Amino acid sequence: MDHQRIILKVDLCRKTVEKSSTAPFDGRFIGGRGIGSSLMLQLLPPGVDALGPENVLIFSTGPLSGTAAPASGRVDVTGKSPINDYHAVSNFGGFWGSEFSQAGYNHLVVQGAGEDPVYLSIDNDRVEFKDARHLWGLSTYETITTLREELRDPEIQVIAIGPGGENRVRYASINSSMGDAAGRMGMGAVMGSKKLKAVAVRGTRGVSLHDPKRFMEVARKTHRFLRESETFANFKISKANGDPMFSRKAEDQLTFGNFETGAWDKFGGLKTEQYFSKHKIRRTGCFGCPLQCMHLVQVSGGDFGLSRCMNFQSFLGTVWNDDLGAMWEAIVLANQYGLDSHETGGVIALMMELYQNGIITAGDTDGIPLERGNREAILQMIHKIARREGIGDILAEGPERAAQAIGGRAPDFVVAAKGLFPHGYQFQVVEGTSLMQAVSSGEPFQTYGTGVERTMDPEKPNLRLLAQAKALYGAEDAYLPGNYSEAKVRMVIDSEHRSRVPDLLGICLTSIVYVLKTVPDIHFLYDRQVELFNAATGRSISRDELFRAAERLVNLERSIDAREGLTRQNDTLPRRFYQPLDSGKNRGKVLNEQKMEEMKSTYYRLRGWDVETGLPTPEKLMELGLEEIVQGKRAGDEKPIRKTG
Amino acid sequence: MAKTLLIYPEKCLGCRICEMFCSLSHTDTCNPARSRINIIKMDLDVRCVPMVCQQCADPVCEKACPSGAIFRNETTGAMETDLKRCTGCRMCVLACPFGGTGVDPWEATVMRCDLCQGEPLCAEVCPYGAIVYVEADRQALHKKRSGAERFLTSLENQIGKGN
Repeated sequence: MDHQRIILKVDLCRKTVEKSSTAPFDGRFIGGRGIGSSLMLQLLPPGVDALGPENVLIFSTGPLSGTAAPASGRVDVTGKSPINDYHAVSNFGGFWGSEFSQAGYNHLVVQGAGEDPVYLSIDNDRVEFKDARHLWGLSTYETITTLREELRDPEIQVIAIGPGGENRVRYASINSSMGDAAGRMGMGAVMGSKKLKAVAVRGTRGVSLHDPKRFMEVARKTHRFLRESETFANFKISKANGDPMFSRKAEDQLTFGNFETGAWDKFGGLKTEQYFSKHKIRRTGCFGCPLQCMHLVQVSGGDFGLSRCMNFQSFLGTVWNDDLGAMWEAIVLANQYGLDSHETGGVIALMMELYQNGIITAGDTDGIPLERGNREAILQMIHKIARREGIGDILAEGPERAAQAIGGRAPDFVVAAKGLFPHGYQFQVVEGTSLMQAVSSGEPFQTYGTGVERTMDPEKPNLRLLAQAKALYGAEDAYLPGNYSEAKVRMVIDSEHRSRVPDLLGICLTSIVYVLKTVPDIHFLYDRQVELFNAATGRSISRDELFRAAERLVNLERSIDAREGLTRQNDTLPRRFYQPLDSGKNRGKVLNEQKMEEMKSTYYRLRGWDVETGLPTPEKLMELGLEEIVQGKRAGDEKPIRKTG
Repeated sequence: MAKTLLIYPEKCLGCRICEMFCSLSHTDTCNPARSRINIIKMDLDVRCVPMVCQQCADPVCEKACPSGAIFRNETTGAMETDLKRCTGCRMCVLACPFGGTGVDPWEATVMRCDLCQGEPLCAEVCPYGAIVYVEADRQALHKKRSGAERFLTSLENQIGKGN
């Protein structure tokens, strides 16, 4: 039985369903995010309103999704982001992706917008649009429970938006039945703008494989490798799942508030371990994953939910909150409303800094003083944002638009990279991490190499990793903080590819990049992915070809953003990263802007891009077999829309 | 002495790796609907229970079968079905109190755990020890040890709270 993969296209305006094979895309784009982004290039006209019916919303699983390959339950979500108009990078796990793949599909493309709310019900071949008026206004969890009852199948997997997405909060999330969400870049708002409340899926067709015996052999070997890894052992013993927030060293890597400082006197006193051992139900995670990196928590019989590391930071240090009960309430509210915890925390942090500096008063925020760490302020803002009530209507627009609406000096306080509140690293001390942020169109998943850079202690460096840096990128500098070397740029480029390979296949990148750091052979897990892919599809590609496809994807996505007006001038970092850290271990450290610009030039040059524009050259695109992009440009049928600001 | 599959629902995290390997090894496809073992989830997936044939000492499926197609494999202890004699009447499916016997949606034949001929893959691939394969005469102590571990942990948590 051969491995067949289907693209399911639905039009919410015309209520049509169309199915086609992924075959035309498979060769160059492999699958997953590769095909998702190709579909975006094909179907999204440049310059449209991200919250208008012309935007597309694409869910992609990959050729390994829903199989015995480890961690094959992730879904890539893309579309034009309502926060910055670039292609969105958003991803969720759980069990929806595997169910969708087992129903026979790899991609769901949602086009148009309905008049009235609908949900989509997919049961193997049967695809139906169903009335969702009775679901509109329900929380994500309520929607999921209601649909399972209504469709009379407890095995149904559901993704849904909450009131946040319905109200088009520009950083609304799409939440899955197990609780994990596509949080970043506002895909929930796009779903809300299409009046699509949920997608319920049930699949019993299964995933066929070209060479099942070989596939099983490699899958067994890979599972065993992961079970025996140091990462697995760490996740198993840690009460808080190897969470960076809980490592005492983390304070040297994190910033607090609106990237205001590198140290916070309350950080050391956070009793997170005690809190979680008291309230945690158990670990949890996604389909087929041995690592299970999330927590299921229930506090006092009520507030039930799921979380990972990022959310902790968003509602603790970012908003100066040391009340773990308030943190958990905030996480649960964000999950129920369907909001990105990180952006929500970032917007509140901005407001707290504005309040602290007297730019705003309680009068500007519906009578609620935005004092640092104020429990009521944090929780009330979340309610108001999701419902777009009062000040919430402004904050729902994201940090840049909100600051502009507030006016005065407020925009000077925004810390955003392409409109998004960055991950809370001390960017001042990590040049590679900063470069990756600068050239990304949204949230770069700061993976393998940049992760090593952030955790490398220059005084006590990990010699094995330094040797790896030399072998892979030509110099130890690649992993060491404190330089802008070409080796470091090569490391960043390689890291970008390393993080995209799992996205092409439908595999969780955490399951690969977190493990890499502790294993001697950096290629081992990638080679297994190649073998799994070949056994699944009957193709015989090499590791180099898979990485070449990852490079093709980087160029493809850059070209999509170029149609929206992206150039080198937009590859900026927040001004605050060029100001020295005021406290903590790294006090006084700062990024050098001129050197960062030179590093960007090196990056574009090594990528084969135009150094002036920061965009892929026609030669590079032709070399990667992306003729349609070059021809599209020559035909002049795409008018770049210049962005302001 | 035959070995048996022992299930620890409290250790199951619901990842479904067992379903994938079970269906892959028995049907050459990855499909939970064709897996002999299934993770049943309840309460927004908080509670998970791996459900699989218990290879009963006195199996109702065997008694219910009108054509005598169900027999015990004396080597492994698994209750197997002789598909040549099976008429597909599904009496065994109806009779099993656990849902231990199912019907393969593709081939329309009954399917039940065969303990992978003595080397059950589900027990091998379960990362959390929720499915283990033990000598039948050690089963009770195995469960007691697991209970004792939980008891100790909860006791330690109680003491911990006092500090």
